[in-house]
Amino acid sequence: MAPPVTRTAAFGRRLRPFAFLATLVAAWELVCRFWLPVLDPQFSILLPSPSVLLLTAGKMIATGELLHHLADSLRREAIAFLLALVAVPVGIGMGWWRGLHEQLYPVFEILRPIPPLAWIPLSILWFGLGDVQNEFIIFLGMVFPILLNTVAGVRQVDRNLIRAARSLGAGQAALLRRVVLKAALPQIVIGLRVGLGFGWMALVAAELVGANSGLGFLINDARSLLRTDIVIVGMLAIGITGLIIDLALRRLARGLLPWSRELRG
Amino acid sequence: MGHLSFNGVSKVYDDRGAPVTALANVTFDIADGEFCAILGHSGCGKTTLLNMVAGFETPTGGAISLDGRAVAGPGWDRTMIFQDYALFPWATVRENIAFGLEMKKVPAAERTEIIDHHVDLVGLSGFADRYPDELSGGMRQRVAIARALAVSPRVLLMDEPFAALDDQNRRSMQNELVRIWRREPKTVMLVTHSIDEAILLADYVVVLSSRPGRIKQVVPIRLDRPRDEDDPDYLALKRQLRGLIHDGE
Ligand SMILES: Nc1ncnc2c1ncn2[C@@H]1O[C@H](COP(=O)(O)OP(=O)(O)OP(=O)(O)O)[C@@H](O)[C@H]1O
Ligand SMILES: [Mg+2]
Repeated sequence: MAPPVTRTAAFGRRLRPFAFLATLVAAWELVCRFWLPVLDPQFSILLPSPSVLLLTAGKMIATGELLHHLADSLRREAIAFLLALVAVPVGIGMGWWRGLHEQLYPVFEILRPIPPLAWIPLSILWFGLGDVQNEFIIFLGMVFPILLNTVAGVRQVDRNLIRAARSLGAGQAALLRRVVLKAALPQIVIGLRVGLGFGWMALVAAELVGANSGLGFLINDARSLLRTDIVIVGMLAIGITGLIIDLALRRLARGLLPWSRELRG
Repeated sequence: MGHLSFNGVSKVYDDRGAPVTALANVTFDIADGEFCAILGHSGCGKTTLLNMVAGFETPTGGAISLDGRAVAGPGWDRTMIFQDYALFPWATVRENIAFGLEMKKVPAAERTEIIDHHVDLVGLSGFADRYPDELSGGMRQRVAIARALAVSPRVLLMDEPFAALDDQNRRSMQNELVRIWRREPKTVMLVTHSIDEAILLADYVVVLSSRPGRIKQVVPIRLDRPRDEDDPDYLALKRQLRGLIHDGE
């Protein structure tokens, strides 16, 4: 008798954080149905209702249009991410060898404050419109957070861990691979997460101007046709995908680094 | 083998341009298999002395040699047990102990045997697959001891290994250390600022003066183990060491 009650209660508790969101969506629907048409029929075009969005999304999924653009965006994000991974060895080198840090730091400090978006004009001239240019912009968005977190991670490695390893016979290579890399890994993973997030933001901006596919292209293209429903569905797809990437990486990291306190929290 | 000798060892640090003399002209010997405690106030250079034996630092004067050969750089003939354990948090007990053996390129089969033996020796059977943060402080220190012993060092170095433990744990770890040391005799150099710890454990105590650290006196402890804190000889030694430590403050 008791279990069903508690189960319902538990289910209710899980839904509770979404109460306000649901209210908001309901209000949005009501406003679009009953209020906007009375104010000015034009407004209904500018702000489609949630039910219309759902319909549009359904159609776009059915025709494969949404998936096609999503796949192109994800592919660019993935390629740029693989390239940006060079920041990990470079960061480890900079964290470990003072001389390397001394030489590279000024270069990166000059490049870092330039927003990836400021590279768009030059990158279009260099690479033309399309995948390579997009990936370049995304790469720039990713590489600095990964680099800085890796350097910080290496510098924070407990000195006694390094001493313990050296006294147990570890040479330079074993030290870097088996101690420094592992000890810095939680911080590196944080850099990867931040990098993927920054990259995703840069991606949309790059696609707005420099692509003929992808979610950024999709919403900009729909704007010119005044298809606000497609614009908003595209925006939601961008947001949800970004969230899923972050959650997936967090879960992956927790699985791979079960010992890490930083990632457990 | 494991005869350590210190010959006029000095260490001057450079503290942003200002020289800081941590140790001055330290000369003494630790014979093979002896348990030596280094006793002195905070800042007198105990850790510095240990770090030079481990090869983490180099003396600015004099020389340290092990079995007649000058110490240069770290190596598994001299392993260190740290106050904060310094266990690899990403590795299980077994993997922590395996690290040095892998560095030494001990074949896998032999490695397993050595690991099992040492897990057993420090009384951690059943915990071999736990991660350090699943263990208590005392257990972590046992892992550190096992890890340091597994590579068969000639000298075991310990820097206030039990200072982070509560009284009860500290006492049991001290007894444990004596038990392990008697089963597998090794040259041991233990830094402490506890007079009791020095008398309970060591064959003799090297008392250092306050900064710069110099040898004030070497006091042999000729008491049978396990040692009884109520023994009049124990109390006499304690009085003597306390006098040495506080003298000239
Ligand atoms: N890297 C360093 N640079 C400059 N001075 C140092 C350095 N390391 C140690 N010292 C100084 O040398 C002296 C001896 O330090 P050491 O750590 O060896 O003392 P200790 O006896 O181990 O002290 P404690 O009991 O507090 O651990 C101290 O005055 C310390 O400030
Ligand atoms: Mg010290």
